Amino acid sequence: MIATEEHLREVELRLTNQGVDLAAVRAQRRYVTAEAHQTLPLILRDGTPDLDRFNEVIGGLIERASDDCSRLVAFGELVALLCAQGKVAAALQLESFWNDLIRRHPLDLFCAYPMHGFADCAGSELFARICDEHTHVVPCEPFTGGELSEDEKRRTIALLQHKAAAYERELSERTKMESQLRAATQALLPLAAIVESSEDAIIVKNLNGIIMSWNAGAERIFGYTSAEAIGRPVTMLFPSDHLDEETGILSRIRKGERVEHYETVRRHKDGSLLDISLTVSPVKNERGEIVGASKIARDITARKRSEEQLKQATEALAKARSDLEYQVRERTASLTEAISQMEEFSYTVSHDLRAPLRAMRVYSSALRDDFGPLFAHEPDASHYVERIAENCARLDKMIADVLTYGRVARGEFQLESVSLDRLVKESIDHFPALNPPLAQVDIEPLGNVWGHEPSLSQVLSNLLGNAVKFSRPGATPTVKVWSERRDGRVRLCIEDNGIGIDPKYQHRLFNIFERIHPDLGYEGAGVGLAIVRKAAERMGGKVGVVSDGVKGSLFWVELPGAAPDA
Amino acid sequence: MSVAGGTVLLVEDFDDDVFAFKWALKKADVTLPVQVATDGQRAIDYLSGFGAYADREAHPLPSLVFLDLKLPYVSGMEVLAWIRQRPELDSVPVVILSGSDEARDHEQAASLGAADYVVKPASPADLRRILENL
Repeated sequence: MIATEEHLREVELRLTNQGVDLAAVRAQRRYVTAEAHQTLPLILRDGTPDLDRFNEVIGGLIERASDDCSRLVAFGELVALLCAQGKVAAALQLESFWNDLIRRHPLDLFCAYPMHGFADCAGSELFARICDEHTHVVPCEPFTGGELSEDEKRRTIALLQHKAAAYERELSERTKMESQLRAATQALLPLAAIVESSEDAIIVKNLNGIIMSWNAGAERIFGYTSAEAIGRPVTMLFPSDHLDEETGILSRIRKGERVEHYETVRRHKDGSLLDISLTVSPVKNERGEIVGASKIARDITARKRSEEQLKQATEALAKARSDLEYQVRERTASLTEAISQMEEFSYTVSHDLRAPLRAMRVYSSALRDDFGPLFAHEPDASHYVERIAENCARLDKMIADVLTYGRVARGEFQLESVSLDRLVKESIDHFPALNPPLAQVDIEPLGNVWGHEPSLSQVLSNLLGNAVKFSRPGATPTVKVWSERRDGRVRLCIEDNGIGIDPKYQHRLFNIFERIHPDLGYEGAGVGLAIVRKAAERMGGKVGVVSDGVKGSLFWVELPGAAPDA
Repeated sequence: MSVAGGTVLLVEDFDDDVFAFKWALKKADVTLPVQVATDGQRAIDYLSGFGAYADREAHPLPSLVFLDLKLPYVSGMEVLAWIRQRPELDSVPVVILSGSDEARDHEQAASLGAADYVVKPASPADLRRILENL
């Protein structure tokens, strides 16, 4: 407060009347005074304001009144004194010093000018320029009427004109500010709504770490109401082992830096710990100075938990996969070993088990041939030797069939386009039993299939062999062979006029070692149709039978069709 | 070439198969002398005139070899491979005589240079055909 003694007295009287303890506020340096008449000479050099002196004197006063956290307001009458002395240029000079000072210090400046200083005509320009140097101009002198001379009237009119001009100016200034304020409020409303409705906690704190604002998200996440939180240090949210974080965050904020997506731990009102992702940004006042920080906190406890669960699940999955791979490797190895043992077994069967059988066949033949004359007298002996030879042949055929089944079931397979017409013809030519006069086989054009020729050959010889083997006594076996093409597949049908197969046995027909007609004297080990089915399945096909058990049988094999040979 | 008058070497470990072979030869009216080696090593010793087989009067070099595949010590395939690597045995055909009718055995024997392949027991007709072809 830089004012005349008279004005200081008036101000202090009013402050005291309003209950202000002047001694106390002086002691707290919240009220600092200087007498205007005594101060003015201190800032002049040769009657003109001097910047160094101004800064020294006025800066000293501001220093004494400065307080970190409160607003500083200065009242000055120095310019008014210069005006009153008619020193217009000096007044304007001093005014510009004040304005520079305001730009450098957080300071609001009130200036007082007695209107009579602008009363003469020469003061009009000065009045306008003084008004331009201020953001607000408020006339405040009461009008004193009474008997006025013409000269006094003219001067009063001039004064009133000046006052009216000041009012108009102030009014337009305020109107402008009001509309700016309204626009700013409008713009802020949605932002305020966003802040309030945000899922995240949005907290503003000052540079001392004191909570200044607290939204509903903060209440939801941390459990404190805004009434409980505002005014308290933000460190109340910090677990004791995280307290040192605040110093680091505040020092970065003071430097104007942001802290982004900082993952840490905070404490709920109920004491439970929360995983939090923090973004802290500096908050600036209208002069661009950092006065606090806004802090957006997101509760990532659930995310952290799911991340942890995901990690555990991923690890469990990886372990399960590696276990599975290990098991697959183990089993593949043991299967491969089993298959190779099986093949070795087959090979052993074909060589070692058949050798004694072969010897028995050779010896029975030799016996018959070399000792024919002896057998001529012993028909029973001849019959026995015959039976030995027949059983040897049968056992040999069974072994051969089992080996064939093994080859079909496990052998290496390469599928190719095979002409059924050619293969059926070759199979028929190979077996006398399929040719006249023993049998009649009629073949329609058949087409090509995808198959493994040696396996397909086995299928055909078994099916055609069966078609004539299970014939009706006394009737010439008659067989019809044709094919049906449907949806890219070829169904080969072989129909005979034999004894048929009772439908109640048909489900067992394609099993290995099944013999449906053992009592009827038909030869066979019960392997042939098992070979047919296994071969068809390995070629991607199926087999089936249709028979009413009386009027012959129809066997079919369905395989993927192939284009005919070029 | 002709094997008439030559010696036949049968490499066979199983007595009954030796009987079957000789009996089939007899039925085919073939009277060639037959020497028998009862394992793969003996077959190699015989053909290289080693040890007891050095006497070519008693053990003349054969003009035809019938070779079983499953043999003690040295297998038939190994004997076949050994024979086909000896230039002095170039003119001696080797016929495989095996209980196996496996495709892999047929293929391997052919690739090692077997002249023919007969599945046991060899019939008199088989033997006549082979001797006529050679």
